[in-house]
Order: sequence, then structure tokens, then C-alpha cells
Amino acid sequence: MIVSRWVAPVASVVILFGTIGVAQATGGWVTTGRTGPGVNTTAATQSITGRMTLRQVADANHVDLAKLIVACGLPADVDVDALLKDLVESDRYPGFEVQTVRDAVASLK
Amino acid sequence: MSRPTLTRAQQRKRSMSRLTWARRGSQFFFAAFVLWAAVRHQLENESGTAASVDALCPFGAVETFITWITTGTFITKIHGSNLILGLALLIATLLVGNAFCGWICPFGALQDALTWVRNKLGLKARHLPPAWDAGLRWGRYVVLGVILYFSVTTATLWFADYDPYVTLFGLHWLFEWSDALWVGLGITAVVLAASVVIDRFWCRYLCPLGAVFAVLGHLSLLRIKRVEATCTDCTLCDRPCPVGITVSKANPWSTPTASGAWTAWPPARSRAR
Ligand code: SF4
Repeated sequence: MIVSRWVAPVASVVILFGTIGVAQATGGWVTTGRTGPGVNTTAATQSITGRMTLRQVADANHVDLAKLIVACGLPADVDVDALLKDLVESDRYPGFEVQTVRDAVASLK
Repeated sequence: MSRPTLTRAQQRKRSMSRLTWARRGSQFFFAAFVLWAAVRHQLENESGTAASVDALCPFGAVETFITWITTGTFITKIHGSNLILGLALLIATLLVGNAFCGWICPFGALQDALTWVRNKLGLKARHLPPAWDAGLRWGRYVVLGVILYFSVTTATLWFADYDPYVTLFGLHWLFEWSDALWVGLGITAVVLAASVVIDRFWCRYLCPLGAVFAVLGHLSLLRIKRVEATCTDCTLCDRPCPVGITVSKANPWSTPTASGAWTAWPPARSRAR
């Protein structure tokens, strides 16, 4: 069977937008893990990455920065504007991982 | 004054040209959309409601798939949208083949733009010897394997720090600079420089999503078939493909992966099954 050369691209774009449309209509189109309607805490904390700082994590998840520091087991003088990955790599905070922050945020919610 | 009658080759070229312009328009639209989404995400960083470039990438579905199947959770930065996009591309590719790379992918569009600039400057593309070219194309599968391994073992979007697409279109380099970006920017610079010399360098040799498409393309209902008995060897079908798939040499099936091959399709006297 010979089909028009427009079929593949047009069908691909239609399928792409159609699938997104169906997902949006059924509530399956979730693009952020941060807190909001229908987003659970586990998903929200999953969006915490090493590229974020403690201050950003606290702001994005609406938790108190001082409480977050305590929950993470970090000293009060920790640099809250340092990237988490830099804190992880620092010798000053043995055992500290990005996952520590995720767990701390989950416990504070 | 009557218009001159076009030969079949001229008609075919004209029709290809129309499709090429449509393809360029589509590429521009999706690239612009992703950039708009990235700017929105960066500017709305505090409220956190705007989708990131990571959340709008179908490859995220591949990266999280094993973790999702085995644990029911996603790796970091991956959301339902990634799975939806992955599913859409899976359906589309199985039904009509891979049009994503030629019509939608912003990073493919960027590489095509570099090729356009190079051509405008009158510079010639470099072509690796066929044996090298064929061997290096396996690099896509190696990259895919490494990414899957680290995505599963670290449960993070491990590749994001090295991914030229995310590095460039995510706009972190513009809005939230950090020294951690240097690695990704270095890789991106090398890939883009190579893409100036070799058409779609990243797509040909390194893209992990291209590897997935290469496999899925073989399962597609719609594929290009060259009918040897009637093929005129005009090679018009080879021209639009930036990754150098020689449809004219298909024996008899050709899979238009990562290509604009659909622009040329159907080639002279070709059929789809
Ligand atoms: S091979 Fe990869 S980078 Fe190239 S167009 Fe396809 S998905 Fe995009």
C-alpha cells in the first residue's frame, strides 16, 4: 500500500497532542512534583535534587528553613545557599545525602 | 502564457520542498515551545507550577521505566508527563514510524539549523568512512545502556547533568548558573561543534532516544520499501535525510530513524507495507 508522505508526520503530531489531551482530561498530565492538588508528598520530595539549595527546598516545599536544617541533622551554621550536591561532597557533613533532605521534607509536611 | 509541464523528478522535488518547509515549521514551533516552557519554568521557579524541560522530555519515560516497573515510583525529576509523552511516541512510532526526530525534536532542529548555517557559509559536510560510520552508530546503544544503568542504580535523572538537550534548552546556564553546569556545557559545546562538521552528529552516534527509535522503527506498521524492479535510482529519496540513511540502497526495507526521510517518501516506485 502506498500512503501519502504526510501521513507519518501528521499522524505523529495528532497522536502526540491527542494523548496529552486525553491525559489532561483524565488528570494524568502531571508535570511537577512540587506540592499542589493531586500530588503526593513522595512525588514532591522526589523533585529535590543536588542542584537545589536548602533555601530553595524550604521555599518550594513551604517548610521552615530552620526546622529543615535540624531535620536534616545539619549544624545551624550550614550554608543554606550552597548546592545540596556540594554539601554532600563536603567532608563537613558525613552521611548527608540528597535523600536526607527528601526524608526531612517528607517528615515536616 | 501556459505553465511549463514539469517532469516527474521536478514534481517530486517540488512536493519534497513543500514538505521540507512544513517540517522546518514544525521543528521551529516545538523548539520555540520548549524554550518558552523553560523560560516560564525558570521565572516561576518559586511557585513551582510550570513544567520543566525535564518533565517535557519523552526520554524521561525510558530513564524511569525500569524503576517504575520494579518499584512503582519515578526517579527524580520525572513525572506523569514523561510517561504520557513516552507512550504517545511509542504508539506513533509503532503505527507510522519515527517522525519525532525529523518533525518534533528541538535538539534535532538545532542540529539542522547548524547544518543550514554551514551550508549558507558554503562549507562542506564531512562524511566518515562507511565502516567508521556504521561502527560509531552503535555508540547510541552504549550511551543508552550507561544511562539506564545509572538511572536505575542512583534512582535519579543521572543523565541530566550531561545531556546536551537539557543543558541547552533547560536554560539553567542563563537563569541559575552554577559551576556544576560546566560539564554539561563542555559536552554540549563538543557535540554542537561536531554537528557543524558532521550532519546531526549527536543523532547519528550518541542519542539514546535515537537508539530506542532505531529498535522501535523495525516494529513499525508503516515503513519504506524500495521496489528494486521499478526503482529508477534517482536517489532523490536520500537527500532529505540528515543522518545519511540511504533509502535508495534499501534492501528492500528502510527505517527512517532520526531522519527527514519521510520528506522524500515515498521514493520513486516505493511501497509501504
Ligand atoms: S536522534 Fe535524538 S536528538 Fe536526534 S532528533 Fe532523534 S531524539 Fe532528537
